[in-house]
Amino acid sequence: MNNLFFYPIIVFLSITLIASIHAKSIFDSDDDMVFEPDNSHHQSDEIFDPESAFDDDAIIDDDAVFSNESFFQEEKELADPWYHNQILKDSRFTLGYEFSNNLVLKPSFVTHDTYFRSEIQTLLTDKLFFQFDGRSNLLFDNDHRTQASNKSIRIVSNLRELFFQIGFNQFNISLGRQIVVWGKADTQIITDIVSPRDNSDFIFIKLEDSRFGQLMLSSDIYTQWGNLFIFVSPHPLTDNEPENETQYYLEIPGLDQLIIIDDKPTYADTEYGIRWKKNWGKVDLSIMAGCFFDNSSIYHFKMIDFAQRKPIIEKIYHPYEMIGLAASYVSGAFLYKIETAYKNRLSFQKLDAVNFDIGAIEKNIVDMGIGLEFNANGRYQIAGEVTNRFIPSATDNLIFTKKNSTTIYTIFSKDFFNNTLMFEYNFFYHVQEQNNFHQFRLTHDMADNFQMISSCTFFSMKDKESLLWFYRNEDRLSVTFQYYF
Amino acid sequence: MNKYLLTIVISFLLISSSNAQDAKEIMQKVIDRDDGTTEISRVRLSSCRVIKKGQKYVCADTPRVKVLDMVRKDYGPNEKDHKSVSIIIEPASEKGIGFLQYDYEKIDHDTDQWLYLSALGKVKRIVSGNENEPKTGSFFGTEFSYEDMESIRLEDYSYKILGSETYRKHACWVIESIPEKKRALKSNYSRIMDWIDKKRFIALKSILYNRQGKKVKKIYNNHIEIIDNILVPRKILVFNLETKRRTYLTYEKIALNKNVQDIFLTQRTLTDSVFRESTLKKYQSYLK
Repeated sequence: MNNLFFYPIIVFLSITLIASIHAKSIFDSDDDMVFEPDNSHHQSDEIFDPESAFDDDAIIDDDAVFSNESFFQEEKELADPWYHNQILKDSRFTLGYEFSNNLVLKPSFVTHDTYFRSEIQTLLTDKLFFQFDGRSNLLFDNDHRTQASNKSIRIVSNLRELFFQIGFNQFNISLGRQIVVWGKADTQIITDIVSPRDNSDFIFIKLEDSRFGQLMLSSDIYTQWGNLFIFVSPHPLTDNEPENETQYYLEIPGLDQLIIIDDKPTYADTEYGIRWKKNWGKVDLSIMAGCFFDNSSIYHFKMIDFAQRKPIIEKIYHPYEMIGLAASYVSGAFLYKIETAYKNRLSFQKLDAVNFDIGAIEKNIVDMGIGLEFNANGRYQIAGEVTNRFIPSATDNLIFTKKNSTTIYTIFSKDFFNNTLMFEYNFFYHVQEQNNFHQFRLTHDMADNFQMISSCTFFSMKDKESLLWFYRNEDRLSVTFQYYF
Repeated sequence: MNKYLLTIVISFLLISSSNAQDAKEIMQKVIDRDDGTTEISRVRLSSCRVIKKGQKYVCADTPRVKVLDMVRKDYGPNEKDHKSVSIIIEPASEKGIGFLQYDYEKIDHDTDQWLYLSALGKVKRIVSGNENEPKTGSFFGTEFSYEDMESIRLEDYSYKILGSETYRKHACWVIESIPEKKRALKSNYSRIMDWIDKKRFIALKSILYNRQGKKVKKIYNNHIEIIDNILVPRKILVFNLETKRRTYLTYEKIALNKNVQDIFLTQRTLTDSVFRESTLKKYQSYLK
């Protein structure tokens, strides 16, 4: 009886003992789990250790035996060759090549250029930071901008940012050419009115690339009641419009019979504003206010040039005031966004052809947008946005302007292959004009520093009275290659 | 005879419940193991698809590498709420992208995430997704999923000691963790097996099973060092058995329990360049 009772226990103990002595797991064998090291200077270590049969060199993780100190220092030395100084280390350069084809009109090339972009963000001293972002494009002979200037090749440079920032305990001060981004809306301009945009390539410049800086003195102040941002811009810049005779230049009939003078804001025209921003858990809130100069112009009749027998028209950028609010709230898979702005004395184009009355009419308007983003737990994302511009007073004598202007914008995006391929679909619809466009974009990170972006845009314009009608035949295929270093 | 049978049944039940209790106590110690109240690190993530060459798995393509500067600080009575900032250093195409993340111990308190794209020039709130279903997608494009990077809540799983064995010269418990009903709803995994070092209460190896019960990932903690009196696996390997891809997460430099200002773990760090860079420079002087 005693033997019968102890026999299974002895057998069990023996099995346990054997199992614990044996190198291989009874649960899971790592026999084939042998990986090459991920650092090139470990490549020589190819010895397969059957006792600890899985890793490159690091199975013996006993602290006394293995010291990583030398290993990591060696790696650091390799990572910092002699030519690396701080500025270079904090810089990023991009070499790009892009072309686009019009899918409707001939000849089909629209853009064809190569570019170099340099970005530097570096700490010069413990308190002083420097930021630079500049880009030069070399436009080939079949690019629409080169053809418009009757040259065989053209170089266009754009200084987006160049400023110094001094840091203090609770605030910083920045001086130089800076970009300011306000608001939550991704499409229509509601409160994001400070930095001008480059519209020379219509909607085909990505929003983040289209903004450019203007000279300003600004300060961020961080307090327990929220963050304040204040700026003063002594010489506000305005949007870059498509140049004369380029692909996206608006050839409004009769415009060539006029002498047009561009009266841009000068150093006497100061733009200034303030933003307060705070986060409470799931809610982000910001309130903005300021006096601004419109980034787009209004045509004014000035006088007749009797020598040329042509009317002189002035393009004027009018001042206005704005107070706005932007907020977002996140809950589970949804992000809710709202943005609204009241703009006081915003100018609109007035045209009375009979009396040759061309000028501006000031209106007080309300811009509003609501948006929703949905994340399907990483499978895909959908975002939607509805914005509306409402002009409470009469709009009869305004051109290209309706009492309500409502747009709907949706984005669907999905990542593939470990985030190396991203598909994006955008749909824009103007409710009153019934104009819309579809855009498909594919971003492929072919290597860590090499990217290909291709996009296809299709327009469907219905309203002949709208500005977008001029772009009805601008369906376009664009391809960009970018190498970062 | 009935008495003997009853004794055996009671003993079996007692052993089983004590086994579960022991397993839970072990996992409690694993979860509670000090990982430092603060962490400052430079992390390298290297991922590639692998193929078998001889006896080794080698990369079939050029590995995708990301290098990040990370700063974390724990909060709350149990130090189970985490705030962290990650700034991408490499690759150049993503340089300067910053993430701010707040994780909470409290169940049903969603993670707060903000993204700063230097190109976009503004802080954007990120939707982390629905907490009641599994999250797909990978952490920075690696084989780590967001779930793999989350802190484990003890009460989310039931535990069982499957046995003991020597693994990589360390006496280990092999512990099985099965997600409880609520956790199972949102987890990508139906079962986890961990090899827990008996001496140091750290998992040396984990096997993760997908919702269909199939082995999907193996995670190995290597180069375990004591840094600032805290055990740190400086090199973590995850091998995805389905995609045949592997990721190495390497702490190139790390410092623990150093003074990290609360203000650094706010949106200010994402937008205030001079503050971010000067503070990071100070923090990086602690790195080993």
